[in-house]
Amino acid sequence: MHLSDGIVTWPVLAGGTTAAVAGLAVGLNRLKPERVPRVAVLSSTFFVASLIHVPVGVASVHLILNGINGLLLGWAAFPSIFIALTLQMLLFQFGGITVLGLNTFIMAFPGVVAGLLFGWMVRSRSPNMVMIGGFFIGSLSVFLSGALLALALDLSGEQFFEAAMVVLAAHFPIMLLEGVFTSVCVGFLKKVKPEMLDAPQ
Amino acid sequence: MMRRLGNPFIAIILLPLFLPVSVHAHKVNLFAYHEGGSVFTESYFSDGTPCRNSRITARDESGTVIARGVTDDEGLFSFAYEEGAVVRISLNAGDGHGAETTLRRKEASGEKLPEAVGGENPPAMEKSNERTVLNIDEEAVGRIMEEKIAPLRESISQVRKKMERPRLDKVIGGLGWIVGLAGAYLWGISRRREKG
Repeated sequence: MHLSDGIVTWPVLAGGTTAAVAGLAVGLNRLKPERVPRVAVLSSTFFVASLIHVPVGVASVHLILNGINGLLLGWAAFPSIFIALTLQMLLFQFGGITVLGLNTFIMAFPGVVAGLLFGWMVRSRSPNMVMIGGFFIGSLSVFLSGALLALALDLSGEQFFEAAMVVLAAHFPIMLLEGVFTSVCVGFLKKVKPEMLDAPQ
Repeated sequence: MMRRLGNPFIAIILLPLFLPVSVHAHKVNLFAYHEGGSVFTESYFSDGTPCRNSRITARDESGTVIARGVTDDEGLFSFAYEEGAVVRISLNAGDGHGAETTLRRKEASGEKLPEAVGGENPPAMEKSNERTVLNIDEEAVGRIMEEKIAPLRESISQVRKKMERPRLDKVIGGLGWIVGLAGAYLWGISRRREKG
């Protein structure tokens, strides 16, 4: 899921980095100090989640958690994910310095979008809506990330359908896994601390 | 019952401490070496699985492509090449992962090495300017060296693979940074509030 340096062409890099900077600006601008501990916790969770792999058939997948970042932080998902990706790059050499902005955008933006689209379901009183909303947020954010990644590859010259098939096929089990996980998380929070699920801004 | 499971986020963060941490496919590693007139490459993901069916492009110093191909089931790809001292190799796994490496070959060093001669003549001693020069079958030496070096090379490959897995100390370091940055940010804000 992390794009490496040298794969994507300059125009795509420039566009993605600009979009990431814009997202970061919005996120930091709206960030209230009381929210910072929460951002730190979610950033840590995102940072660590990529390291825990779950065997699926012959391959393995890992949680991305951009959906839950987007739901609980809104636009602050950008700084959260940016910091986590930077640390992953510095410590484990995942991704690369030139693609840091693009990777941030690919992971954070879908989370924000999914949170905005389905957040209302999670805030409803019906436990079924909460569960389903959580699932949608988790799976949609993974799907959109996969789609953006495929798009970045396509715009850089890889055959679109070939790259898209590979990327989306790889993401499909993660979509399900993440949907279920987000759903469980959200259900838990609803019972224990429902205020956390309120609209971020 | 759910309450007893504890905060899910903290659970995830602490999970690496309890599970053997392993990773799949965040980074692809490329390793190359010269041998016997060819360049050999090995590609594998950060958890050790081979990088199969991925494009390799090799260029010389000036950027001209000298070889192109695809890695096999074991992540290997090789091509014959002897001319230049510098070979730049890049790998594209097609799903966003890539890697590059540059291979530099040392020029053969000078006089003190035994001179090599074709294999038919039995080794003979000659005296020349008070130095003794041995005529040795280069092919035989090459074979013996390869036999001795192969296990070493395998060892190095294993060590490289181990070194590149994410390690727990780095995870803890990363978490420390996140906490520290959050703290610094909040401290900065509180300072600004005091002044304003």
